[in-house]
Amino acid sequence: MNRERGQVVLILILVMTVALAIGISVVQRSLSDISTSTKVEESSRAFSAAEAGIEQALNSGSTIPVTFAENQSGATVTKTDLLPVVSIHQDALEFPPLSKEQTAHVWLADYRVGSNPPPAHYIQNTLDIYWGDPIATDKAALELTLIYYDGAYKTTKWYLSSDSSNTTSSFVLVTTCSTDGKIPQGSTTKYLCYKQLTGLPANLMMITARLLYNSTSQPFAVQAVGTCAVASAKDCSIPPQATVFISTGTAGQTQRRIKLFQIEKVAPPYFDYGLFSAGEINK
Amino acid sequence: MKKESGVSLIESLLVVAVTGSLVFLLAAIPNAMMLLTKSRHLSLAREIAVKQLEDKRTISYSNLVNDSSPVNDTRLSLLPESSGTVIVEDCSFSICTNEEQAKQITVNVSWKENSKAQNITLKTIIGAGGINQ
Repeated sequence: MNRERGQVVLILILVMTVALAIGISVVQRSLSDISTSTKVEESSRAFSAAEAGIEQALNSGSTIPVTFAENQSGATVTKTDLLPVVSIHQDALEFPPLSKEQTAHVWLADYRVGSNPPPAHYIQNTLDIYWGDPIATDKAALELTLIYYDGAYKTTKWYLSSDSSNTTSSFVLVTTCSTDGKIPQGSTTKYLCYKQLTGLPANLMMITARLLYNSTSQPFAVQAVGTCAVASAKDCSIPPQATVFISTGTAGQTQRRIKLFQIEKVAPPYFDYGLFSAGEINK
Repeated sequence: MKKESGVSLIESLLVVAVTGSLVFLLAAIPNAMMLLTKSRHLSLAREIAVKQLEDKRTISYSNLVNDSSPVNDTRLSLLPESSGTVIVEDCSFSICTNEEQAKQITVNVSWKENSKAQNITLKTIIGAGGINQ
């Protein structure tokens, strides 16, 4: 006697599983696609609003929030006091990562006084310098130019290298570089190298720094050294000169944040060449 | 031996269930394709708008002229029934309460998705002495 065995159910289940799998994946892909492109669109609106917040803050000097009713986006801005704050144990002045050939500029004299030369502010003869990214494969070298006033403007230059591969006879190999990283006071950022400049002259005006041999952007910081009495904290503090703006733009569920580092008055990067050039430099 | 012919209850229930799921899936797929097209258009419109805004940021503040001009981008033709405008105007008093030297830029890209109007609007401020100035 033949006995039929039911295989149809099994085949049906298999067919249904395959069809469901295909259908669900198509629907799921389209849902995630539209969700992503909506978030990207919100992100662009939020970024434009964040930029508007920064522009507002730079222009008006205050941190009023910006609201665009037309496209439901807006931004709030915060602004620090002038950094670094004068103190007997001052925190480091940290710059955002510098790209190759970009110059960082640090005032050491009181630039806000309009005299020529400006009066000295930082009157120690040592200064701590931090630079480089400890985890980057390209080890940056550093060119430092210190400008001081000794009856006339004068410069002292240092050429510091972080790695024997980028040392030539004119560069000094800094032995205090380590991939573990060094952290200056008041910071959480690690720097590849640390160098203490000693024997600095009187009437320090400014110091500029340029990273060399790097392909990625790497951070740079300057830290005041020395101890003073509270009443004369100014003497061992780098003059306050930088403002950090943080603008947070919001659109829908997305936020974008822009951080802007601004130094009030900056000499052009070729300033030291201009001081010592025979003729004028026009750019 | 009697041989029964016919369809059992389980079999017919299963057939109904399978047919129902397949019909549901088939109905959902065109919707899904439409969503894919919509998200592609949204991404393209966003890129067009962002480029217009960034082009304005490369102009120095003193060269910015108050006007309303159409968006000029070859990719606009990829969006169905599309158009775009870039408006440069003085920053409105409600936003720039200190009468700053700033201009408000509004970029609007609109298109039609299955006869339903869609648009993207980006707004920002460009000020004298600001970003990229």
